Amino acid sequence: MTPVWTVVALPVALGVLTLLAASGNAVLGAAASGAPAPLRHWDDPLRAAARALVQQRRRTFAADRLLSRVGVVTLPVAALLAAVVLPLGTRAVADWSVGVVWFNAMEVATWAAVWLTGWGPNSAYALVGGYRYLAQGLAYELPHMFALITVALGAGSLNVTRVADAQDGLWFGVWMPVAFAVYLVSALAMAFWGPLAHPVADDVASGAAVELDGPDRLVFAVGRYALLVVAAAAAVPFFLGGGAGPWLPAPVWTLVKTLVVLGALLWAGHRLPVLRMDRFLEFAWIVLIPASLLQMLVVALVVLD
Amino acid sequence: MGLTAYAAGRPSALLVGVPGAAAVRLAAEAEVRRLGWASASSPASASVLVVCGDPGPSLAAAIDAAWNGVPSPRADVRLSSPGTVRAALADVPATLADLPGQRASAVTGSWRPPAAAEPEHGHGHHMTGAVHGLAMAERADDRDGLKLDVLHLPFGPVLPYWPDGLQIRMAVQGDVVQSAEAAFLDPSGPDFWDEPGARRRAAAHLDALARLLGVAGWRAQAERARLLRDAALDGTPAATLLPRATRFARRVARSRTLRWMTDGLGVHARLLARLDATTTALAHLDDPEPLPPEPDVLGVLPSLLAGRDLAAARLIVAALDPRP
Amino acid sequence: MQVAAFWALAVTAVASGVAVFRVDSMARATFALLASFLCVGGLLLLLDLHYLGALVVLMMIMEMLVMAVFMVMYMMNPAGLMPMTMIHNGRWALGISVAVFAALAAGIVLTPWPPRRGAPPDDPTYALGEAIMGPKMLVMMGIGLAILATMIGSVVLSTDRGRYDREDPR
Repeated sequence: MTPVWTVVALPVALGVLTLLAASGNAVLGAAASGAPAPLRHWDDPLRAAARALVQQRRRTFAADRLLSRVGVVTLPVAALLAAVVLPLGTRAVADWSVGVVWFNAMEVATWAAVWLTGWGPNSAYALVGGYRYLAQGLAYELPHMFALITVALGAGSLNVTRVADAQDGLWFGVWMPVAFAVYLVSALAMAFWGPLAHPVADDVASGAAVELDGPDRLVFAVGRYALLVVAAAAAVPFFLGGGAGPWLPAPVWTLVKTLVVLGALLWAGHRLPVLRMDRFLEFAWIVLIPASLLQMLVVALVVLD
Repeated sequence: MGLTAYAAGRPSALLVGVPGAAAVRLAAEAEVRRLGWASASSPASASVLVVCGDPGPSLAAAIDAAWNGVPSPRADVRLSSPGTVRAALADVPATLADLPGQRASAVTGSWRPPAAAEPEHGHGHHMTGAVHGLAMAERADDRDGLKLDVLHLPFGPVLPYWPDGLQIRMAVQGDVVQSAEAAFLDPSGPDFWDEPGARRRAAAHLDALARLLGVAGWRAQAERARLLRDAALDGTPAATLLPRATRFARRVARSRTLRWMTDGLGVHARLLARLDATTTALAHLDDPEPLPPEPDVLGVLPSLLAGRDLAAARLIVAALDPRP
Repeated sequence: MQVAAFWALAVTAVASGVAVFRVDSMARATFALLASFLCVGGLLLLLDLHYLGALVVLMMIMEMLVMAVFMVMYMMNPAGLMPMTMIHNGRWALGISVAVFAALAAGIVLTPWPPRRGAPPDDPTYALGEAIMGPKMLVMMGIGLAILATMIGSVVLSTDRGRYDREDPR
């Protein structure tokens, strides 16, 4: 039975971490670009949110508002639904037997979200951005799935809590380093973040998001940060032993590990230029897929033995 | 403090450069950085439109189209000289927080789609379609022997990390450029970068590098290039300037990801050459030579863009960095 | 509760299936179809077939979005700017679909369904894995390889240089 506290704790934790990620990113970005007094930028996301809330709504000509609205709203909803299978310490809101597959399915819903956001406004840059996300999806999704399957194989279960428990003593991140690395790349890709932000890159004036204003822009931005948080949080049960750790209770360890992964993802966002999709696609299919398959083979041999 | 005033305290600025008036844009960029404002990448994400210079008629029309896409509360700042920048931008938060004034302008400034006969300009809406009394996308032969829709897409002049006043009209199929025409809108007067001096020359290269790095999606280093550019023009002594520039150049040149994304297009070689030219100019600050005139890159640009996808095309434009 | 969920999903699935042919834009038709499939995925989840349900959600989203790639390729007018009918060859299509529906419905009614033996397995996911990877393994592997080879082969044969020009000799 699902403990009631998790149902309350999950959205609260996701909301707080999302705000923290946005705020931390504003400071990191200012510091990385040598801006004066980077710390004063901590409330940039709040000001952007205020701006979005008081803004007049503009619409482009002959837009498909229904589809773009559906796309924008799907983003945070997918992030929340993906998070329900992640254990907050030891208990998940939904302790489903196929949690790993569910997480994967919800994260694929962002394909639809970003593409619809790009298609809806009837703007060429937005469409190109949405189109790029599909190419990105085709690039990262297979290696990502193989990484998740490898984890499930190592644990002998598709249940996320059992995956976390199976790493008693030795984290999957340690003995499946290739799968972990592939997962981190795909975490950036699913939140179209940092080097994998090609769908919303500056060369097409922020791509899929180019026409978003008012509450739409806010919901899209919240969804994107929430996805980044969920991607970071999922690395904890998959690769970093879940809530296991000395002295502190499991929820605290989960939080600490999540923050470390999240910080690393945010930091990577300012360290690297954006990857162009034609080149990344090639890399993903020629390097990442064979590498993740080999990793799976190794894990399968160890498990069978 | 209400939400409107809170948001107005640090607005999001979209800067539009005017050919020849780089001095104004440089001053505006520095002021926006000092105030800690966000930099917008499209009209929809902006709350302030900052026009840096006095645009000619066709550039002004493009700017008006972009202004139409800026949602209220919004402010429109027209700057004609670097000296007016600070005072003009200081007024912006008050304008944005002035609700009665904003309501009045929001009603008058409602969104009107451009008519069919009007040339497409501004920032890339493709607003066509026989259905709405406008022309549809045409069909043309694709390079793979298919007949596919072709879309005429104007790039610039209101676009982040884009040369001031440049407009390139591209015919695209999917995201592949089929053909392109490049022109500067209302080029006028002597260029800011044509003045002699090694500082001016180094700053011109750094300005171009900032655009290239921005297009490559590396905002942090693009900002660093701008900081160095401003320092070079400020008269910062060479003893402090040169080590900073060398560090920056080494960092950018060493990035393997950047090399991976830009080689094979001729872009990476140009990037390295520019980095080199920058540090050389800063090492010889007493050299009075002006920036050598660029060869006619505008003329060769269309042939270089054909067959590229949009991301590569933008990198090529930024690497060549045409000047009027 | 379960009955209400079943009817809600079933009605939505059929309604969005109908919508596929009533809307006038390719994008809306695609996503109406996706909504219909997602409802079917929900029905599978309702049957406690968790793995199959999640898989249907996952695969259908990916499939429909791959369709969107072709949509952009063939029609560069975003937002369904050009209203277009989703029905072609109306009279024949109607005849064929009525005939197919009648045949399938007759099949359901006339088939002598075997009486139920045994109980549902404790873990349907495990049972499914056993079935696919046990007696049917050779077939499944064969189909998988054939599909992959077809995809790669058709792409390689259709273009020798890829979508974009490249100067680099890699």
